[in-house]
Amino acid sequence: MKNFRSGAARFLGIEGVPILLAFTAVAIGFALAVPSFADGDSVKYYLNEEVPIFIITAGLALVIIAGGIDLSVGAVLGLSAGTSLWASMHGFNPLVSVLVGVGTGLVFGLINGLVIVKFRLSDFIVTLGTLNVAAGLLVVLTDHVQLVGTRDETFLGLASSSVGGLTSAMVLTVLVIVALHLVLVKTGIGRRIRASGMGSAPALVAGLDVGRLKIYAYLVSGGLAGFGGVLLAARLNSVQAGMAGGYELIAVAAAVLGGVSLAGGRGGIWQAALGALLLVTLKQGFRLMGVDPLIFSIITGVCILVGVIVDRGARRFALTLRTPQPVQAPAGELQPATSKGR
Amino acid sequence: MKAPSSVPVEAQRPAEAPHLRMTDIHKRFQGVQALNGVSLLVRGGEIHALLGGNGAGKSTLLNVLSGLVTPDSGRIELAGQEVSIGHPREAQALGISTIHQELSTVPDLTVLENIFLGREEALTGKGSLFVNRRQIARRIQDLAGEFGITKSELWRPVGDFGALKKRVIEIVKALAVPPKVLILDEPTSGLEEHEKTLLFEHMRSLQRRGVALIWVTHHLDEVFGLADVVTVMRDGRTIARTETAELTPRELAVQMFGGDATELMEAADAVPARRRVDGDDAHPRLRALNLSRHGVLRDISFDVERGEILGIAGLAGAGRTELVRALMGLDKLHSGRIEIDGKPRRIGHPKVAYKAGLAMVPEDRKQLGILPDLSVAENISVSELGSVTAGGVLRSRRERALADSYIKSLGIKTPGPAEPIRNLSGGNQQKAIIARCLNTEPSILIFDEPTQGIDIHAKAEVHRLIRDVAEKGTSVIVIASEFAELISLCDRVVVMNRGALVGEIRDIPHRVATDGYDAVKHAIIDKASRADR
Repeated sequence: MKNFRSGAARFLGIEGVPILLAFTAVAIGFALAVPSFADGDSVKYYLNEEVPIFIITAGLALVIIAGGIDLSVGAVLGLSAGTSLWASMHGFNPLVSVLVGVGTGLVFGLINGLVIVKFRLSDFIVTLGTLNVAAGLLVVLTDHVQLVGTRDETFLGLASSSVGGLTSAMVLTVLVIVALHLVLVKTGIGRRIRASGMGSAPALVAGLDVGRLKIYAYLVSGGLAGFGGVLLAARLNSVQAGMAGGYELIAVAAAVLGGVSLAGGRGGIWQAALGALLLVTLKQGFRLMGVDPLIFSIITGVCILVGVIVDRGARRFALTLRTPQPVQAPAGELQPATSKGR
Repeated sequence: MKAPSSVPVEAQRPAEAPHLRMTDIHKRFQGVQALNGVSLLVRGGEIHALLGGNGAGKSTLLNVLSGLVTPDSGRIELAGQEVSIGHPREAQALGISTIHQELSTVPDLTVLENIFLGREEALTGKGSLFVNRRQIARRIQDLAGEFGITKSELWRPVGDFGALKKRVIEIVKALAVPPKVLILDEPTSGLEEHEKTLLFEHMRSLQRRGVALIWVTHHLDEVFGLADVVTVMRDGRTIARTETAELTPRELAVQMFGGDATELMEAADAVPARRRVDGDDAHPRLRALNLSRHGVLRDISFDVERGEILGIAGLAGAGRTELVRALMGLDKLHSGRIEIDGKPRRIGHPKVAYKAGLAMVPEDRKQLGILPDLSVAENISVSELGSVTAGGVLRSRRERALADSYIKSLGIKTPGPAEPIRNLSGGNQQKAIIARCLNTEPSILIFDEPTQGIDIHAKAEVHRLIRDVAEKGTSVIVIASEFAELISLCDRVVVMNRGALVGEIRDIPHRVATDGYDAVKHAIIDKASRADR
């Protein structure tokens, strides 16, 4: 019994396990309530639709882990969709169109990073500003109406080619998440980014180039928002002002649900992606059940709050159940993590 | 050694009921038994020293008493009445006041607001906020004045002040409402000699007024002559409760650490053997020329030779930390030159400093030293990830091996290299930070208050480490508030006073041998504290 308990606790203590369990429970629940939910084509359809959310969540998670926050991702995604579609419509070849879209994102990422680091401004305020700049530029670009219709099949094929039963957009998304995860976990630069997110003061003392690392994180986030925009434009072949507005909040919610700490330094890319998976699954499930889409934001909000509380509770639970490990040092040498007081 | 609440002690003072009695307190945190049946008995008008190594459970016990931690079981009696303390406010209402080891002031509020914070009623009496505030402010002014806080400083935000002044503010805050039980958790750490003396006087005067004082300290020498009774804790248990008069320092150390401790203690206090400092080369290892930073550093020049341990002495605010921060590229220099091995270097960023062969073990380990969520191994490798990567990719086996080797060679006590560093005790965290610096293979290693907040056991080990490092040819710069520490560790000491270098004492071991320890100490104090230059 005790072994089972401590085994369960250790299992729950593994990063990403609580969110995975939550997702499984939600998916099973919907599958039982709405038979059409588990239909393969419908799953593929809604996941394909939500590809941009996954991509910006990955980039945003990196920025949060680096100790920042990027609110501009949604608007930059919309703008990049616009610029890349515009390029394609005006006869540029597909590669150039993609580069225009990704480049738009990179430029915004660079501006975010540079302004935050060089002028020592709040991440929140700066990216809130660039959010509005990007959204405004999209309005100008679309000239108050929508951009519709490139005839470039290669460009359109970026998102909707079939690769082993999945769409190319989905495959690219998985590649992005895996690659970013590996960079964060397996490379020196990933380690440095995480360390500097824990606190810029100790990271500086340890000799890390905290400012530059943060700029890198914003570059990645911006570039990915641009890439997500390209995929969105390629799938819809139409872009209008205000597109992807509010995506940044879904991405923040997804990252937090996945256990990425807004304080920086803690969490991972794939856990954040799982958070996104949970959110979009909820959205799809409620849509199939005929719940008013407007209610979805309420449900999302409640889910975030519940999710965060449950996640923390689960972690505490796991810690209290964990049997004390044999310690070579006398137990007295280990200071318990006391409550920090005030 | 006497058992807790032994009969003879009770019989000596039959009239006095114990003011505070904690019986059989248990508390478990996340699988660690922090308190395992602790008992504490403190009388009114008694200075009661609570001692123990890092992780003995002292802080947890005090947190129980101040309402920050709820015990799993046990009984707390105050003046004969059983009480439960579920919240810091309840502790305050019971007259239990705490001077925390970690600063608990709010940086954005003024000093006065901090003192008033959450205690208006206690300070002014019920419902008479307006009438008395001025009068209370005047009383606090007097109290603060004794600790060197001027009237105008009372109206400035606490965040304006350094760590030292914050601690003094904390003390004033605790004394502003006369407490019945006063908890002092390492109250002297970072204080100047005269401030310590002042604090001790205050402790005595509170004692005369019948306050029960519970005092945690790592400085055994302070205990004798001030504390009436000593309770020693180890591994979450009470080891002994003894009247100070019946104790010798050696017995006390044995109580705290077990049998092998005393030789370590002696080693820590020993005057160093004279080491030869290798100054034959054409250039010193480090040469600082006319370093200045507006308002902080004034025209500072000094050299450090290979294998030399250079101490920087000075009072708080003298600019010691600011000097080494500037050397490390953490703060900007407005003028001056730095040469390393004869080559001029511009150090605009810590990263450049590490590249140039500098490394620093910072003051304030919790805020500036450890990366709390990283493991011990990750904390050790982080400054020189090149040692554990291949083509930018981390090699976890190599990282583990690196950590294991330092864990072994520095004696870092940890369940393993993967343990989050925040779970280690202060001394072991410090050793991991030292390992991080050593891993960068520095030619100049800076220690800023390397032994603050760690027990004498770990302190002796850190001192030994510093000597070993110098022995291998690394140049070492040490900042320490305790002059005794500098004298026992350094070859040479330079003294700072208000941002300038005001003196130098060469060849410390020799001077100690010929002139005596006190003469050297007084020479340093004299230079450091002279006001008119």
